[in-house]
Amino acid sequence: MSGSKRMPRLPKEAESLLDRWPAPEKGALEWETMAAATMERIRSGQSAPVGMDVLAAPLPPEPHEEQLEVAPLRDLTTSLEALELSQSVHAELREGHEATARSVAPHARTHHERFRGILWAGAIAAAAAGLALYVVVRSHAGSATPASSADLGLSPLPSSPVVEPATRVEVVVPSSGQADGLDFHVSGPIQKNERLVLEAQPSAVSPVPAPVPGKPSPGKLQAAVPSAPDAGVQAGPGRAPGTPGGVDRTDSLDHIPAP
Amino acid sequence: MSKESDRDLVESAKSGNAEAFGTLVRRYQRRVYRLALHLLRNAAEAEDVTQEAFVRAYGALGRFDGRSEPFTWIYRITVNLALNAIRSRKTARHAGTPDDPRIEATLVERRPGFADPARQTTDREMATALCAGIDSLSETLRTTLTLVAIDGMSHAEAGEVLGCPEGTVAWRVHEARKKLKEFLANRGHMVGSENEQ
Repeated sequence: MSGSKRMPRLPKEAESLLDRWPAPEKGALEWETMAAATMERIRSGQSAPVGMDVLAAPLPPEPHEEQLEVAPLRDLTTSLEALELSQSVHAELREGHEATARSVAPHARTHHERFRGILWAGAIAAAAAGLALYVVVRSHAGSATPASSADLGLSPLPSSPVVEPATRVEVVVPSSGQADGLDFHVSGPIQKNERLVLEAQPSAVSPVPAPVPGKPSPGKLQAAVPSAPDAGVQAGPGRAPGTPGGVDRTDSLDHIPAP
Repeated sequence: MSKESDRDLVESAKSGNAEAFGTLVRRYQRRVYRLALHLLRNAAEAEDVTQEAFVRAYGALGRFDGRSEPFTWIYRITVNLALNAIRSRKTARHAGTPDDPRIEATLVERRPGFADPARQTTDREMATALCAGIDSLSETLRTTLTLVAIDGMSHAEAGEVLGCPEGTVAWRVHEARKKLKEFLANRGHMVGSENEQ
């Protein structure tokens, strides 16, 4: 019984002793004498009354014994082994988190930089759209002169570029322009919280040739809202495509793959 | 002639056949005595408790309901009587005294090589240390270890004697062995390659 693998092992001699502790030395006659004495007492009725203290379970439980039987898991959590296990698991998790962070960080940085670039481009596009809207409104009023964005003095955008049009804005950009060394071309309505797909390329040559009305330069900076049902640019009243302040549907960016 | 089972003997004794109970006495008195000796560490007290256990068992036969084996029932009575005797002692008995009957029993055993004086000294040292270690255990752990490790009872049988589940018996034996191992290690008796002097 003492040789269970999970039981703590004692020295070999101690295990041997426990396994077969020698029985007390008594001769057969001694044992028989002892048995005869017992039976004599029984026959003579010399027996003390048998109380429950003799028949009941004899021993009190050890400390922690009750928890072991009733709630072994709770007991496990309070044991030293469980504490070590818990610490080990936490260490593993911590290591895992650090390893994950180490492996993800370069990608995260790359994506962050890319996203910042897109935001910048989006902000530029939004600013251009605002200017274009202004031009459209002015031209509707009959007092505006079509002008390119460059002519309107488009300046670099603020450092916190957040594209958040409060309402639906229809953008009509009659021509391309240049901002912060980038050629741009904007087309399509922009709605709040809609996905803005942009593609920006730095100008190869500076200065950029002046845009030709009705023939937009190849779009370097383009914006579109593909998910919008009415994606594209709506023409202003009385304006023909290709005319200043009008619509150029070739600027639709439906063909540009999403990043 | 076939050997009567313990239950048959008990039923026979219940119906007034005292000799049937005598057969049970002769069948189990050695084991009961050895158990009492290991618990009490005194031969005379062990004899008294052994005799008293059988007398009490006979007197309580009407209350034996047959849910356990007769010998585990007699063992339970023995354990209770031995513990009562220990608690009623005026002074505590110290382990490892020269007249400790457990140690004497190990020294009279006839084993190959036992006549070797060096071997005898080693055995005595180990027996003394082991007895001291067992006596340092709590009453509950010591009794459980005695039933399982020394008497050779299964956990289920020991559970019947002690009135607790098998799992509790296993836990107690594990705890007892763990403490015993520490006790022996502190006395220079390590396991295997840890010293093996």
